[in-house]
Amino acid sequence: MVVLGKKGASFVETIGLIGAIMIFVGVVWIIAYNWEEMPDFLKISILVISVLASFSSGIILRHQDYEKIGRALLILGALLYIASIFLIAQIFNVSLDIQTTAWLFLLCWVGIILSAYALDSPENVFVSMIAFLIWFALQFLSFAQETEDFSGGILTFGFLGIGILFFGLNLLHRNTGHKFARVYQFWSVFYFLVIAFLISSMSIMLRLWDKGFSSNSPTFFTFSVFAFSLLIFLIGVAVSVGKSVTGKEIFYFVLIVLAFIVFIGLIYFVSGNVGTCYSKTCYDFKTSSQCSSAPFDWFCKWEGNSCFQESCEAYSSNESFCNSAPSDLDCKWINDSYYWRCEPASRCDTLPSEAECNASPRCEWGSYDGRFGGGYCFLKGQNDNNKDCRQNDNLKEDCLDNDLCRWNSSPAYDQELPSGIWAFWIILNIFFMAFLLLCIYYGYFLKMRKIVTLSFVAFILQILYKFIEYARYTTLGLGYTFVIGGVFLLVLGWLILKWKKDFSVNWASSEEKK
Amino acid sequence: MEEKLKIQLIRLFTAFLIILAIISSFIVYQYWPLLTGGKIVLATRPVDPYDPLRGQYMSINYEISNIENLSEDFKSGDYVYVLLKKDNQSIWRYENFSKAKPTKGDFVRGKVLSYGNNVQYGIEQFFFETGAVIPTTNLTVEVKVSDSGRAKISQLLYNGKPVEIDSKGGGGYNPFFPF
Repeated sequence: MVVLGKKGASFVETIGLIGAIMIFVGVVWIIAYNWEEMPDFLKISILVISVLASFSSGIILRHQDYEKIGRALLILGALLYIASIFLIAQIFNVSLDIQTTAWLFLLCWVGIILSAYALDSPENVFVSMIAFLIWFALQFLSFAQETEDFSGGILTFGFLGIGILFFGLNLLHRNTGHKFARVYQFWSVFYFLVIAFLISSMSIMLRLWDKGFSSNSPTFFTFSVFAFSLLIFLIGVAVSVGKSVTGKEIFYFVLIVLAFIVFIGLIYFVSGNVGTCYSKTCYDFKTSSQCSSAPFDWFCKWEGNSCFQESCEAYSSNESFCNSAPSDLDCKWINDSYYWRCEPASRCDTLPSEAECNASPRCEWGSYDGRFGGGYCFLKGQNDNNKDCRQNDNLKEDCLDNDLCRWNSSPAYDQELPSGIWAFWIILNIFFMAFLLLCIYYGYFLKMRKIVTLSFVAFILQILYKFIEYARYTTLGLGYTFVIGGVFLLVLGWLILKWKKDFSVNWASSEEKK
Repeated sequence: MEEKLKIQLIRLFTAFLIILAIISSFIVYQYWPLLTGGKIVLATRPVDPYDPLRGQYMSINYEISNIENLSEDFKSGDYVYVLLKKDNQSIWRYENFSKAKPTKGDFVRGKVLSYGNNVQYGIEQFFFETGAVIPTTNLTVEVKVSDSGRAKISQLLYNGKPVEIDSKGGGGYNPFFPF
């Protein structure tokens, strides 16, 4: 038997994986293109037999020392199983709503994880974790859609729960020396990195808890997951501490979890309070009485369960109908070389210059955002109101007290953020950087290249994202931001490469000694 | 060596059982209303979009997808039982709605959506081969409804007769290279 070196084995693994994905796409393609010609029984049989054939050939090749190709075929089996679930759903015209799609991914996850244990395939545990992530996100979204209340803070707690769950499963598997322990360890780090990324992002931080905390179905779902995760973690600690895991590792893990909980909790007091106070539009009035109380010159009208801004477009069917439009709308019939239409004699949003705009009695030149210059021709009443509302930027309560203003937790481009927010953001980012370094160290400590690589990728993505974020939220001016950011990135890039090089050398020498 | 192979085969057999059990349970669950349900025909208002993940489908809006005054008694996510009555064109039309499962008559179970008075029955999509041509007017949908009110599409009807799908009529739209 030819013994391949590390690089050769990795090459075979890559080729095998690409082959598996190509076969997967090919099978799905063939079935999709001959959908109507095939009876349902044949479609399902082809899919199920493909799954079973992939698993069988994977097991046989793995047994005959073609380990890498065998593993690729097991992954192919898992992918074909996912395709089977979705194509069977298609045969039965299963609904496309979020909840049903979440159920389908749950079926995918259950099937792959159970078969992964049966086949002793860590690769398929990895694939099942992807299905699990999609299921969790979709299930949360489905509950949030039902209650019309999407809370980023609650979702973040959910991710934290899953991170704890996978760490607990890692402990349980380490205790028995099971090889899946490392897959759970990787995914645990992945979830913690996702949370760190979420909470250290200014855009997300400002909106994380913008709707406060409500005890509804998304919260109940998330905290059930969290409680179950804690239980698994505690069982993991009880059976493994002092044997396969040191008390020190558990202590640091608990410390990190507590730090995350504290930071997510602290964001509660920050998010939602910084933002922009805009003028409402007709569409923001949710009841008939609110709609009719809108200022006269906003032209709001309640019809078909919603409030909309009446416009000349609604009278576009013919010239006489256009002429019958309310006189306040100032409509006129136009029949030029392009098409016929009914539009305002002085439609504000089509007036290109400040002079033309201000010449119209209904319109006024203004700007939502002074940062990039330019402007926009507004309906006069709304522009005046918008100016009044913007006085309450960063003052949520005052903004909401005014019935004609609406609150948006995302600051406008021309809006200065309070220095306290910047200070908190810097603290969160220092925490994230420290956590990333800890993950790199942890990967090195456990001799897990995948964790080290994941952390380095997260590190680089984080730096790039911070640069974009800084440019978005600072009013320093784009020119200065690009120069400072560019220099910072070049220096940092050089440091990372140097560090990674030293790190790889140390790793190699430590493996040699071993 | 033989012992190791035996263990591998036992593992493989277990994986087969798991996969077959899940897939067959899923098929039985989906097939149950078609096997045991009573037949009704619903009037539609279809459009024709495309789902990149699951192929071409027709998104069907039913006459009973929007029910007046529903939002007063129900909140988003609640189940609603919609009672139906057959008219002289052999189409089942809306008669009433109820929170509790009706004890008699034809009915279908739906889920109240978060906006307006909309109800979803899980029969809003009909999938067909990419590139196939399906009439989009004068369509009704034959549905089988189980005792619990769960509905499944059994076939599309055009002018009251089963639709014949022209699977190559559209020139073979390719989902991977749509342009």
